[in-house]
Amino acid sequence: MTTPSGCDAIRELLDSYLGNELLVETNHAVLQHLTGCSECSRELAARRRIREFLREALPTAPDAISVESRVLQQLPRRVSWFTVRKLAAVAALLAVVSAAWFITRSLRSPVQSSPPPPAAALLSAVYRNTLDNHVECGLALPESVTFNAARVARRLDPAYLALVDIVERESGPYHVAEAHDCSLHDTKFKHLILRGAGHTISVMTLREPPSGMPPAAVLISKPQASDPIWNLRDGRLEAAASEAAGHLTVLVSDLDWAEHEQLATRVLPPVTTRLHGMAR
Amino acid sequence: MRNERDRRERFIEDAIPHLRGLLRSATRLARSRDTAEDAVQETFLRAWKSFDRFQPGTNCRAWLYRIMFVVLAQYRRAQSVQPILVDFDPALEQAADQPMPDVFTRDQVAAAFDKLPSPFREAVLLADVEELSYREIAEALDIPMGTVMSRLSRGRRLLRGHLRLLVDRSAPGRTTLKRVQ
Repeated sequence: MTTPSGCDAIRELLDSYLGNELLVETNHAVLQHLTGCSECSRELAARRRIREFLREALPTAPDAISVESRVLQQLPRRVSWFTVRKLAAVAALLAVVSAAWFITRSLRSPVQSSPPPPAAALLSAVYRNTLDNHVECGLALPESVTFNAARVARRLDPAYLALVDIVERESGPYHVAEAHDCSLHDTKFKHLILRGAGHTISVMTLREPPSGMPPAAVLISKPQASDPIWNLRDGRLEAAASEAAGHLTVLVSDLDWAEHEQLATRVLPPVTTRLHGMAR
Repeated sequence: MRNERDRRERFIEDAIPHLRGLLRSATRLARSRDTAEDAVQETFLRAWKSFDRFQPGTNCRAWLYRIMFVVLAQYRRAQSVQPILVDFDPALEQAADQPMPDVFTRDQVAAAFDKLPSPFREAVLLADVEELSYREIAEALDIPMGTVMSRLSRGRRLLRGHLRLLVDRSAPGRTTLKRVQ
């Protein structure tokens, strides 16, 4: 049986216990006391709930984007001629790649069975992982989960928090419900899960994609009938990917092709820009 | 020119990701979104100007919070809003000594938090919401570790006391005794 003075001493420590600020021995003593004292356990549960409510009651800072852009505008932006020339070269390359892609696509019927484009073949292993993660993590997210900034700030690498605002801003009727770090098949993802109009969409960023990635290109691939993963939900699962600054970002959705393409072309370029900005 | 570009990229990588968290804290502390946005913007511009003095690898978040608290303190002085002095309130102390209520709402927790005087509100916010360590809070508020611990202890106790009083006042079965002739 616990003496009242014991309870008083333990209650003094409960907040530090919740904040992981106790020494190992003290932590052990608190745990031991809690297993035998229902009053202190109830007190601990109430204090934990206070913290959760405080986090939830805080404003979610929806104007972070405008403040961020005001700050960035005021930073001096001196760009050397070397950079200008490099940017021009990348723009030209992108224009050529885009033109080639549009021409190729316009010559091919969407329902026509054709071999996968070489870029998609190169990426098939990566796509498989991202599609698996969309199914196992994105689609498994309970319907009751809604966006909570404090929870996301705890669960997502802070360096990638800005992606949440960018994706939210560009996603039209779909809204970010959850963002966190997760991993599957030894691949680590920064995973943003969007919902809206009955659809679930994943935006997954992974670092250091495998070698053989085409540089600075935006690839948009259609699902292949031969690939069972791509055929999930009556073959309507679509994936689009972009690569930037040592990252690969893949958007997976069950939208129809035109809508998926529209969403991907809105979301991926600003994400890519941001990732370039993050790279040293 | 190259250095300037590197500096900008380093700032975007190290400092900007903390903007959202700072804005959230500032909004709660300043109790006005406009003031919070101005304070955070000024914080980052000051941080940019002194970014050369920031040591890479040290805690950028605590450094930014430290700048923001200086900015917020200046705003408070400019607006002649002084921190509330903490008077000894026997009813509050008594409420804080009672066990925590089993049922309370998010709004009641937020209302109790808003009743805390600034120094305690700041410490509780950084520890229990933003999950900074004692050391980071000491750095952010520019106070010794011992002061962090005493502010947290007092702040959490006051928070529980205010919450208890709010819950007791809103209890549906609560009746007021009146002298009957």
